[in-house]
Amino acid sequence: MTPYDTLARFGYGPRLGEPLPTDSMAWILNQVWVPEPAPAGKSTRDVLMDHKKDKLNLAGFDGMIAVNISADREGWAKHRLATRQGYIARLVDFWMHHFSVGGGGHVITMKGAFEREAVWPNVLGRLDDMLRAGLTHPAMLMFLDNDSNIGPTSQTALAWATSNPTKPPKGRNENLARETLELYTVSPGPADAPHYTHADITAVADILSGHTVALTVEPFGYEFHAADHEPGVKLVMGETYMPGPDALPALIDVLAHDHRTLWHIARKMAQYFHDDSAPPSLVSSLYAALSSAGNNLECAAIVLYTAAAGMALTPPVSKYKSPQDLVLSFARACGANPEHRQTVARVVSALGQLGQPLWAFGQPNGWPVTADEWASTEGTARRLDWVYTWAKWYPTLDPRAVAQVALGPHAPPELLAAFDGDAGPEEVASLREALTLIACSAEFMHR
Amino acid sequence: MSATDPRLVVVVLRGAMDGLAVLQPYGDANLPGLRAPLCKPQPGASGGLFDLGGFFGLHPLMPKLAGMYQDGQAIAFHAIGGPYRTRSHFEAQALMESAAGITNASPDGFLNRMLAYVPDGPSVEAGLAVGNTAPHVIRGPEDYGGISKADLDRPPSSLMLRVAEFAALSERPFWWGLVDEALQARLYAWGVTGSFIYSPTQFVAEAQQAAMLLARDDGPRVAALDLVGWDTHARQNEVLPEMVTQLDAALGALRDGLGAAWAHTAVFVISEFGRRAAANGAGGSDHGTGGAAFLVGGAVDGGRVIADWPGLGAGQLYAGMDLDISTDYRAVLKGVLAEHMGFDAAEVEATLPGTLGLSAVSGLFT
Repeated sequence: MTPYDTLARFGYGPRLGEPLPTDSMAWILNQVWVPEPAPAGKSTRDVLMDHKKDKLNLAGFDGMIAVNISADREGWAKHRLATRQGYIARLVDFWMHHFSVGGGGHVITMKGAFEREAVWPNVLGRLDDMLRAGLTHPAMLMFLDNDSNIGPTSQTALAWATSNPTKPPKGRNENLARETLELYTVSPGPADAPHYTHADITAVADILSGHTVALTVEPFGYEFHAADHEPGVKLVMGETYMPGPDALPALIDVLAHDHRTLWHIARKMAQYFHDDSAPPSLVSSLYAALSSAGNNLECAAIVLYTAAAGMALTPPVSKYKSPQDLVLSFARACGANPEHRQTVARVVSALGQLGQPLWAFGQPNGWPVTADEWASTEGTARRLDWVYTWAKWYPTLDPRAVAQVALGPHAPPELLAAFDGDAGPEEVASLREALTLIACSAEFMHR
Repeated sequence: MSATDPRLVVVVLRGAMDGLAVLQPYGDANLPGLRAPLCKPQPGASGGLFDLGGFFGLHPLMPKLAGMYQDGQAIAFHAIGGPYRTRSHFEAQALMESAAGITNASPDGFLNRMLAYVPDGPSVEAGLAVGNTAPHVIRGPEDYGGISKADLDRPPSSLMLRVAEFAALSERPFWWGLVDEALQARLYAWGVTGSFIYSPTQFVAEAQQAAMLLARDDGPRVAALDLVGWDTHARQNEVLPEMVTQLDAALGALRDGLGAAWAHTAVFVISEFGRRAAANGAGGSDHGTGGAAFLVGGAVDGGRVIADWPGLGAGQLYAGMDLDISTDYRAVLKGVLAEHMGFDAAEVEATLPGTLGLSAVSGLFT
């Protein structure tokens, strides 16, 4: 795969002013072997403490909550604009998409911390660690209501029933349990032979009970409440788990090695990075990497690239860009300055304007990943609007240089000819229009 | 500074406005033979031109400008252009905005050079760049202020057509299908809602903001705006209405927003060149030479068309195909600088270098 296609597909595209790597494989391996650390940002503990301070402020000053949220978003955009390790960041984005921690309230303030604490440290580590970190992070526990998942015969539930005999009893909330099986691990499986039953979901909920978050007191983060935990032995898909906090890591370990989980993850990765159809040969290679290398995501990251690079791309660039792909690749092709706060803020708002606001996943199954899901008439018109709007911030670029960076070997000769002063009636009428035509070309809309 | 300081606004129309369509010489007998499909009905007919003095007619979607003409506040120029004869947009815009002459455009614009002779306000620069980037005409070493608005802009239809054209050439039909649908949807909506849809645009909002600032006793005095989208190579009858409607609404917004200061204002509307006399096969017009321009404002002695008409006959067209140029836009600018801005000869020459031998068009102001 050419360096241009490698950066466009496995990174966020080339940056104006930075030469393309000469060796695609070396570009991948260098970042997998020596990855840069996560961008800096506040810990979950710090943002929860700030949250409490703001809420206690009787003047109603919500300063730090808003400051922390924009700092996280701008830190994300700044990193994506500048990074030379686009593959690592894209893998991080894949896992953020996999978990798709949405929702408001306290969760909003913890999304940046979720990415830094749960995803970055494990992105080239082990799948079981990734799932453990993701499923027990305070943002996830709050997002899928595990803070209100009380074992039906736990001490808390029994005490509540005694002192509030007329009120509804406290009990299970199956939200996180259901998504753990359906989205994050084994997936539902075929309708005539489902991977699990409702009893399995209930048992997972009971294993999850008591794993909660101290939002407003120490330790301002994850905490196990033994009184909320459902006593007794649980049976999940044929495996038994003893009561207590250790049942959850044991369950995740089993799920992370379950071949159905590995197929599910392999399929999602193939579709996310390579092709909407998730080609079976690529899925098999990824499955083999995940199962033979002991849950090793570093191995999967290398296989994902080498297997995809070995496959014919017809047409040469075939993955339709998401709004996020479009915004980052165009901004980078224009050489957008990551140190310019307004530019970074514009990138963040562009994601919302095009229907993919950062970290604001509408559903736990994440953003669409296929072309058909992103295709809409108004969505297309908005893409043109945004590109045209963005283009006005760069009134002095040479359109030929931008076309070279943005489109690489796929730049259509007819388009390049239109930037020629001798093109006569075919000449593009302004620099702004020239940049618009580059980014609104079919070649640029795909990666 | 005082409320009666002269104000100058320059509006650059990028992409080459079709002067023969916007300021149609309906009295020229050669016109229908060249471009009947691009012509509007005669004044008085349904959907017809606004008559400007018996030979020229203003585009029917420009009622505000027509009103200013009626009120004696607008002069229309025809067969106007620069000393250059390039048909490249980039090159022509750069030469026009820098007023550099025939070749070698300079990076600074003529409005920037004139800022050296216009006093700044106590807390604001005299120059104002409107929109999210400064037009070339005001860029340069003299400081100037700016205003912008952060919404999404909408590309003009001429540009959307161009996007679709390139998408159609691609091997990837997916994007072409999307663009085509988006384009049809927008053209349909604009067709149904007519001029209503054109008015609430970024450009008009920019004109409103500029007017608010220029109107102030202690505000800026010189402003530059630009409007992209005049390159009407295809489907001109669908594309041009949204452009003239925006321009008309923006001129109205300037007049209304400037209030009492309108009496001390001149707005010069120019484009890099005109378009081919004959229509092309795509329902549009290609790059030409001579074009149209407008000078409007309460300070203007208007209600007339200034045009030493070269004619559209076979022997009269430039290079056998274009309306020729009989008025140099810099001659008009010289008149504006001297009579409206009160510049002396040295200041005029510093702003428009190399124009000593060019006679100013005089008597443009009351």
